[in-house]
Amino acid sequence: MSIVKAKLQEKNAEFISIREVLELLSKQGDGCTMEEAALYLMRRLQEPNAPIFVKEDFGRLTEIGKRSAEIVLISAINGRAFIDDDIPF
Amino acid sequence: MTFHSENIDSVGFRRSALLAFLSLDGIQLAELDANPAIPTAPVPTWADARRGLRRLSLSEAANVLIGIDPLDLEWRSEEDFREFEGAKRIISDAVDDGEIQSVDINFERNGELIFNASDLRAWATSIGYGWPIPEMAPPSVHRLTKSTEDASNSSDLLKRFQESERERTHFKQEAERLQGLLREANARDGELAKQATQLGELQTEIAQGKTEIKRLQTEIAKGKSLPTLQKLLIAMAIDGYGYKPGDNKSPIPKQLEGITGGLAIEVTDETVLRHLRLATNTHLPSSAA
Repeated sequence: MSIVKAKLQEKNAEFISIREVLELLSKQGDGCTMEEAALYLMRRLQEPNAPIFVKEDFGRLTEIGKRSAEIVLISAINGRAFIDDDIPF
Repeated sequence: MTFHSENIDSVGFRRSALLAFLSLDGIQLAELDANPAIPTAPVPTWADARRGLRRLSLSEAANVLIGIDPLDLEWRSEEDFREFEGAKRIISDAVDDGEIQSVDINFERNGELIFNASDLRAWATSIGYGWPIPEMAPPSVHRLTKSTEDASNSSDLLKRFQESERERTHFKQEAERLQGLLREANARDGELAKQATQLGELQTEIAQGKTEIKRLQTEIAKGKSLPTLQKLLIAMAIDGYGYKPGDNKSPIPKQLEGITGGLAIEVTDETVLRHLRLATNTHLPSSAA
C-alpha cells in the first residue's frame, strides 16, 4: 500500500462515529440493546448543552446541523429518513 | 440490529465533548477516554522481510519511500520510475540541507550515498512520509526472515501482555480490597480495646460482688444463732428472774440493767425490755400482751 493510501485510511483520533457510540453504550454495565442505546442518545441529544454533531471527511471534522444528524441516526436504525408515528422516537 | 445508513460511520461527535456530556449521566466510556486505536496501513510483506537492513543506498532508500522493496530495482512502469526519481531528488535535497547524513559512499553501487536505516526512518517520519519498514526487533528476538513462528510469538507476546494487564488490574483491585479490610480491622481493634477496658471494669465489679457475698454469708450465719439466744433469754428471764411475759410494768428490765452495770457490760432497761418483748413475741406469741 502506498503511503498516500495509508494516510488516507487513518482516522481522526478526535472523531467518534454514531455507530461506535451506540456500540459502546450497549456494552455499558449489564448491557442494553442497540435500540435502547439509540433511544437514550436521541433523548439526551435534545438537551441544549448536547454536543455538536460532526461529519468526518478524510480526517477533517465539519460541524453539521442537529436535524441532519438526527435523521442519520433515525434512518440508521429504521431505514427511513423521516420521522413519523411508526418510529419510536 | 442492522444499520441502514452509510453515514452512521461518518457522522458522530468530537470524542472529548461526547465524553464530558455522557459523564453527566454517570456514564464513563473508558474506551472513549483511551487513545483510540488508529488504523494504520498493514506492514507489507516485503517491508517486514527487510527490517534487518541496517544500511541502504540512495536508490534503495528512494524505493522504500515510494513503497517498493528496496532490493527490487527492476522498473515495472514509467510511473514507478518517475516516483523513484522524485524520491531520490527529495532525499538528495535533504542531504544537501543537512536533514540527513550519509555514512558512506559505496563505489560498488555506482558511487551511491549510503545511509543508516534508522536515520532514514527518523527523517522520513519527521517530515510525514512514513517509513514502511518496521524497526529491527531486539537481538534476543531478531530473526532475519519472518516466519509463521514469529507471528505466533507476536501473538503470544500480545496475549501475555493482555494477561499481565488483566493481572495488574486484578492485583490493583485486590490491593484496594485489602486496604479496606485493614481499615476495618483497625476500627475493630479500637472497638476491642474499648471492650477489653469494659471487661476489666466488670471483672473488678465481680470481685467486689464476691467479697460482698462472703460478707453477707457471714451475716446470714450470724443471724441463724439469734433465735436460739432469744429463746435462752426468755427462758432465763422467766425462770431465773420471774419475768412475766405481757407485763408492761415488769421490774425485771430495771433489775437486769443493774446486774449488767455491775458487770461493766451496761445495757439499759429499755434495751432489755425491747429484747424481752421481741423474744416473747417471736417464741411465746400466746403469752405476749
